[in-house]
This record gives sequence, structure tokens and C-alpha cells, in this order.
Amino acid sequence: MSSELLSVEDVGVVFGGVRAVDGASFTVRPGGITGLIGPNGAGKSTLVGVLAGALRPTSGKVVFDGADVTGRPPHRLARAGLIRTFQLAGDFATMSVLDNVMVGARDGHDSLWRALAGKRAWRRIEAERAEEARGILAELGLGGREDEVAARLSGGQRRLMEVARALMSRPVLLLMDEPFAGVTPPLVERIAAALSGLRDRGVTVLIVEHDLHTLWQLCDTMVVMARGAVVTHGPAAEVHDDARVLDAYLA
Amino acid sequence: MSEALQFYLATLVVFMAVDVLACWGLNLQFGVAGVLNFAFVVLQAAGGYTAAVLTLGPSSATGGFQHYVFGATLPFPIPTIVAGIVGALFAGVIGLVVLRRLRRDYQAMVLLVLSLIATHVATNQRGLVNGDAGLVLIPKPLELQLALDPVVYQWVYAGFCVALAAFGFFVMQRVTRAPFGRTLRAIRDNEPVAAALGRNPMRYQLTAMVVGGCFAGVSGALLVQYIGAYGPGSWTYPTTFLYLTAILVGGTGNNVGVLFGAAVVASLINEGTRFLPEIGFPGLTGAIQWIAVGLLTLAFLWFRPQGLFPERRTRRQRDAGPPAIATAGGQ
Repeated sequence: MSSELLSVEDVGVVFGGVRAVDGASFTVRPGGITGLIGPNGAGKSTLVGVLAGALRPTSGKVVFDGADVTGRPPHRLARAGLIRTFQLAGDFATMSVLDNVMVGARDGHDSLWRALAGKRAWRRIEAERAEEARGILAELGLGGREDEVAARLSGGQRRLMEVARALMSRPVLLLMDEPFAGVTPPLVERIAAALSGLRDRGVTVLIVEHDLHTLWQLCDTMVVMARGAVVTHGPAAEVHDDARVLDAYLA
Repeated sequence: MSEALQFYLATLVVFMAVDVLACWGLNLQFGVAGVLNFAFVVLQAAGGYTAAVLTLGPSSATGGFQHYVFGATLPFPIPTIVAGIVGALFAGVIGLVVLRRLRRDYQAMVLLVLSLIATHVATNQRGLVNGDAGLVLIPKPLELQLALDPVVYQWVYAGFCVALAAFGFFVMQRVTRAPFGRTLRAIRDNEPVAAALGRNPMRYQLTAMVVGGCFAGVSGALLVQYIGAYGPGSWTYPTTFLYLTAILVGGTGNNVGVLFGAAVVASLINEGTRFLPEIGFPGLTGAIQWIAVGLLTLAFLWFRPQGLFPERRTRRQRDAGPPAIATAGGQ
């Protein structure tokens, strides 16, 4: 039980009469990158909503880091270290790139009391965070864009900025919702490299993707979903040769 | 300078300070935290009535022709302080009602309805704050104790208002420039993402509501203790729209811009023209004021939605420079 970081146990989600997720179960061990794949309509996005706390499942439960977190609101899951990115519009559009990334810092120095106490109460930690954020942005190839307004970035750059912000929040488990969708190949490589770097630092990553090419190289483990349930689950190399995966995509 | 002109100018200064304080409060709620608070004027009224009943004394003391709750004669500046607290409390209660489980567009509708309900309650529940007639003979703070010439007193009061507004600016700058302000802007821009980064949107927005409500309450107290009379007609819902116009014109999210917008729009266009001669049929001047305010809102939303002073998007080195500078300056 305790060897798993995340465990999804028989989760079902019903919207009206539609079973979007129908008894999905899988586990994610600490460390490594897990891919959650499946054709359109397999229930991946719904399951992401459940894992991130945006949706309450109709049945089943989600256990994160040994605690039942089913139906916990997103901000509490994030505080426990489960950080997600968004498929669409994950930016604070009117804010600078640096500010976007700095919101990722989850150290509680953004309280009203600190604000009222004046600059001295937050200036030093803020300067450290800014330095850290600049470093992360430079690492991801966004150095020099710190002062730009987020809305001015291209879709791929915004995705990179989201990755930077996720790094800033020092996640235990990073849940990425289609990070490569609509991103140009050079940026896909940069995002993939950043995720590999994260894995090397001991962060567990769960990537939900529709497009598979990058995923087979990047992921250690694969979970395949079809029609709301998990079809197969295991090391990427084994799953790759599993006939059921092809079936899932062709069915 | 003639006494009439001095009185006019001092009054204008007081109104400007009142409006600027209120606009900063609303700007924090709407411009920074993204809560479109159409019930803002209710918070100002809560502060105004609080200051009134805490200075008027018991209802019977004035001959019993006014009926209101909780009469007391508390020394200055306690009524003003309590008015700020009551404004904050009202904002907290209203925030708890609308920020839970309501989508942002519905929040605005519910808030507008709350504003209308508040007006009806104050008007029709006569024992609360004397109903439609409102409260009169509200004493001016320290007027008897200071025993000044009326014109001099006006200026002293205007100076006090300006000092409070300056303090308000100082507090608001602290609140919006700190990481707290950045988190509010993040929630305004994209609530689900801010939540996914560990921020409870409802808690932060509620905090912004409470701080803004405190500003509203104090502004109401300053107004009421100066004009000496306050009734449901003094705080109708269009006042909220006037403040919103001031914020839009000045620059949503920018305290300096809001200062400018409030001084020009709220004070000069609305309050200033009250002292101008009436033209045309009775009520025409007032109607023209509101038409002008409406046209100004439309013009800015179409041609310059960021306002005259746009929100600062990039940080200054002073706020978040490299650690070496910060350490040297911080010690």
C-alpha cells in the first residue's frame, strides 16, 4: 500500500446517463514518468479532473501519499504536493511571465499580514524566489522573456511557462494534462527534456496524452484507457507490444 | 477668498477623499481580486450609518423624532474606526454568501440584488435607521471641543480626510504590491489555475472583500460626519457604478490611476457640479451628470479599457531585485 504514491481505486464518473469513467483502477509508484493514454473519449480528461480535485467521482476513491483525497478541493491537493497543469489556458494572461512563475511558489509568503507588515517582511524571500524563477525560465529557454505579458507568448511558450511554474511549486506528483498538444516539435523536445530533468530530481510525473510519439520514449510506465476503464497497465516497453493497446485505438 | 468659496473648496476636498478611499476599496475587490461587487455602496452605507448612530446618542435624546437602533455618543475617532470594522464585517458576510458556489457572472447579479434589497430594508424598516427620512443632526467630530470658526473647522476636517486618504494609499500600495496582491491578480486572471497552485480562491477573495469593506466603511463615516445627514437616497446603487467608472477611467488595478479617476470622475463630475447653477428644467443637471458618466464608461471600455494609468505588469528591481541588493536594502 505505502509503496504507491497515487492509487486510483475503481473510480467511476457518471454525467447524467453517460459513464465517462467506468471503474478505472491503477497505481503510480514514486519516481519515474507514467503516461496515461487512450483514444478520444476514453475518459482521460475526466479522470484528470477527479485526480486534481476538480470533479467528485460518483464512485471509487483516490489515495495520494497514503491519504484518501477523494473529492478534496484542488487547492488542498496542491498544498499536499499534487500539482497539475491545464490542457488549455493555464496562464495568468495579464501578468508578466516572471509573475506567472512566481505564483508557483507555495511557501505562504503571500498572506495579507505579510503584505501589511511591509516590504521588509517579504522582500528577501521574494528576491530569492525571483532568482529561482529566473533560473528555471533560463533553463527552459525562456530567459529574457521574464517581463513580457504572458498573453504575448506563443502557445508552446506558454506551455513551457506552465512547466516552469510547476517546477517552481516543487511538486511531489506533477499531473500534466496534454502538455504536447499544439506545441511545435522543438518545444516538445524542450518540455520533454524538462520532464526528464524533473524525474532525475525525484519528482513523480503523470502525463495524460492523446499523441503518443514522444510518450513512448519519455515514459517508464504506461496506463492505457479505453471506454472509461483501464485496459492495460505496466512498463512502457511491455505495453507498447500489447495487442490490446492497438485494439483500444482501433475499436 | 470668500467664505462661500472656501466652504465649497473644503467640501470638494472632503468628497474627493471619501470617493478616493471608496474607490481604492472597490478597486481591491474588483480591479485586483476580480469580484464585481455591485453591492459596494452598501458597505459604505454600513459605515456611514454606524458612525451616525454612534455619535447621535440615544434615539430619545434628540426628542425622539428619529428612530434608529443602538444610539450612543462615543468620542472621536471611535465611531470612524467602528465604521471601518462594520464595513469589513458586512463585506465578509456578503462575501461568504456570494463567493461560495456562485459563478462570477452570477455573483455580480446577486450583489446588485443585495444592494437593492438593502435600500428597501433601510427605507421601509423605519426603526432601523429612521427609514426613508434618514438620519439628520449627526454631530461633526470634535466640533464643540475645538470651538473653531466654521470655515477653519471645515479646513481642519478636510485636512483630516486627506491625511486618512494618504494613509489609505499607503496601506493599499502595501497590500497590492506584496505577493498577496500578485496572488489576488492570479485568481482574477485564472481562478482554476490559482487553485491548482494551492491557493484557496474563496479565502483570498474574501480577504480582499473584507479589506475593501473596511475602506468603504471609513469612507462612509467620513462623509456622514461631514454632511450631518444620511438617508437611503445618499447611497443608491448607481453610486457603485459611479465608482466603477472612476476605476475604469483611472486604470483598473492601479492605485495611482484610481486616485486620479476618483478625483476627476466621482468628485468633479458628480459632486462638483452639484454646486453649479441649475440649467433648464429642474433635474436636468443631475440627468446630464449621469449621462456623462455613462458615456465616459462606454468610451473608456471601447477605446482605452486599461484606463489612463494601466496596471503595472512588470516588477521594478526595487521590489524583486537580485538578493544582494535586497539584503543590503533590507538590513
